[in-house]
Amino acid sequence: MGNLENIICKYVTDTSIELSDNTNLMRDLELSSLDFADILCDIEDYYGIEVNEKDINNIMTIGEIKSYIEGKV
Amino acid sequence: MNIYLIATGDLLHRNDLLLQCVKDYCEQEGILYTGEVQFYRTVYGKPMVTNPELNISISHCEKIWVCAVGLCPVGIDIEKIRPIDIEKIASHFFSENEQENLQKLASDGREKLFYKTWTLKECYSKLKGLGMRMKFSDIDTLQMEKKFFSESIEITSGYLLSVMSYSNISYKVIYGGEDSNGKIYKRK
Repeated sequence: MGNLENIICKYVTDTSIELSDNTNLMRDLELSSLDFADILCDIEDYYGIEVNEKDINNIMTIGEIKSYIEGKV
Repeated sequence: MNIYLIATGDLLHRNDLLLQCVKDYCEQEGILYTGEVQFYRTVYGKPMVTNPELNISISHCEKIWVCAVGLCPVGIDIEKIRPIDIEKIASHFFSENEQENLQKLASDGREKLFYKTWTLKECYSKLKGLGMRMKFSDIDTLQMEKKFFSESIEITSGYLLSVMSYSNISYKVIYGGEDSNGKIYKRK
């Protein structure tokens, strides 16, 4: 499991769900918008990047987050 | 307006719960309709009921599912109050006014205000039908107090529920659960 998945796993209550790039954080993992915001803060700390709110409005899946991080580091 | 607060183990694909809530509201309010209750979601994911013509809003957190059903447009949100990096999240998602307001308070009051502000932002984005596509730092809940009706209540050990509408509404909260057949039961 990758580093991003490890960050997200901390917020997931149902551990039987297998994470993939197509996993939608809110729809598939039942995460709240506040969980999502908290994850973004964790990503900033871990990857040393600055996440801008205006960039993330259309980010919903793990794959989309990965692409966003790759574009920043 | 009724707010249904249902303890359930399964939060996904809850059209069945929604249907029961809409039918219960219609029964209580004497709202008649013919044929099947019709649901759909807008392109931004806002749930709508067209038969009968009602307004709904849905939220969930851990094992609690909530739904507001009524005649007026509404936005609802529930969050569990838990340790979180309030300052960091506020710096990203709160307006300057909201951040200044937060800084004025001691830690206990700050946590409560944080959750109230966050849930009201969610309510507003749902009321407008745009969800997380709205830029949260552009939503200033302090400016909304005069323009919108809103209330925040702490419910069932550490959850904060907020509701928002365009004008003053009266509502009742109905607490319940779900039995093994997926049927809602109400708690007295």
